[in-house]
Amino acid sequence: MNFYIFLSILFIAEIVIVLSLLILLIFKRISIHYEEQDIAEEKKVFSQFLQECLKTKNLTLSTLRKKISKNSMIAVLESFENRFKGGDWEVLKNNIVILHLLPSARKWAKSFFWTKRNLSARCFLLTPLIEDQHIISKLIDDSKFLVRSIAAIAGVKLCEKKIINKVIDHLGKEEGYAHYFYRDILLKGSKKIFPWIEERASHTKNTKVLLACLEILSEVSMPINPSILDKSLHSKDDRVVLAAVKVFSQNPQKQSDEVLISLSHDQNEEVREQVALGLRFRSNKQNVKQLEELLDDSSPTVRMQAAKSLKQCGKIGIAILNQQDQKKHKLAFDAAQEAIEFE
Amino acid sequence: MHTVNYYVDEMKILWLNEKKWIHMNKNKNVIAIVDDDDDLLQMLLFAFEAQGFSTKGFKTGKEALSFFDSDKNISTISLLILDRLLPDMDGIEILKHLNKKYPNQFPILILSVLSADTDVIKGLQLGAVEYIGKPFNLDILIQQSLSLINRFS
Repeated sequence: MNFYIFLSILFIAEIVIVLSLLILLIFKRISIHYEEQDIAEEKKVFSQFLQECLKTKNLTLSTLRKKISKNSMIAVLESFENRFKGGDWEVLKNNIVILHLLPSARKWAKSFFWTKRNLSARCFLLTPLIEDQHIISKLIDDSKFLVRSIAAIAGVKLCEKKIINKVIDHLGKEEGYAHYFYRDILLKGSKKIFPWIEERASHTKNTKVLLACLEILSEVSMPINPSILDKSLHSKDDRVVLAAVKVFSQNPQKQSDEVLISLSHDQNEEVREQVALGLRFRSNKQNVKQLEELLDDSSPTVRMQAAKSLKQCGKIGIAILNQQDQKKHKLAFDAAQEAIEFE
Repeated sequence: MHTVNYYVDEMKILWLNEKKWIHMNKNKNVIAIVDDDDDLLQMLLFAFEAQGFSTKGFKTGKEALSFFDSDKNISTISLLILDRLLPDMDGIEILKHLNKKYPNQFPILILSVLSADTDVIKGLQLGAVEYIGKPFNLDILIQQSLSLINRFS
């Protein structure tokens, strides 16, 4: 009997707990809804305030009456930053960020919670200052990608050598999406950074950093110190050799043609593919002849690239593609036809 | 502001304090802007109104196309600023429609977050006179627009 009473009490207690949790959930959901409305209203007010400032050229916060939460301020400033750059917007944004956000950002950078560190990085991204470079540098080494990625963009925007070197280290270390992320932000950065990347490539003994630097240097158009590329071409590491060949093929140097032709019989088909890609820039007899030879390569990707490059060489190249004999050189003929019809 | 007005045929030339020469056909004084971003649209409309133009703003492609379907409306436009990522269509469709029905009536400037090389090439090949990526400098946009209107007229 006592047992049954005990069970009933337990049962009633369970129902009470479940009901209270349900009621709590409903209240929480309602309060979140009103909170979201308040945040949307705040953002609207701040957005209109910024528009008024830009229209009237009043670039200080003296006329903002309502208190705006820092989260909303950052979100609205970011949305305006996606629309405008330079001019009055830059002055207005810097005034607001320096006065109202950076003091908090410097505290948030030391926070235990990654969401606060993320907010901090976003503030530094809006207005990166030289005096905050040590904080930005620390945030670039953060454990969370959502913090260090934003800090890296801020660092590239700030354009300081030590910070750029840090971003290059991460480019070398990280793989997958993160690797391409760092590569793209460096490529979109100021042209000032490329000589620093070249310098880093010449001094580093770390293979991953060297590969990262060569990857960037192959995507830009600038003369590169021949000694860096020479050293890399003679490296024992195949990846470094390929990276150096990519620089010659995609960022043509004075000695590009000579180097590429010397590598046209390399064992590695990826190297031969880069050779075929690189020879398209100058349609002189030597290059065109080499491309014609590569039409007969054992690798289909090399043949296809050679055919595409010949097509880009203009009338001379197209004439060679049309001359391919289906009976004597079937593989070359197929590659040539594909380039003519589809590329 | 000191103005010296000259009438040369139908052209009204204004000499402003900043010594900016703007050729304005008094019948062709409307700048049309198509962008679904409300804040940005309001800023652009205000900025061009401050330069002395009348403005027309559209947030969707359909609204813009129904405005451009009238010969009378087309004759009033001196410049079209066109975003690409509209809620109902790609702005390129508006560009194609105008090129087909009303070729070379006014310069078209594309203002879009899609600013990869392929996007820029596509826009220019289809007839846009200028392609500007977002974010952009508002002062530079205004000067480029004035320069386009000047050259086209």
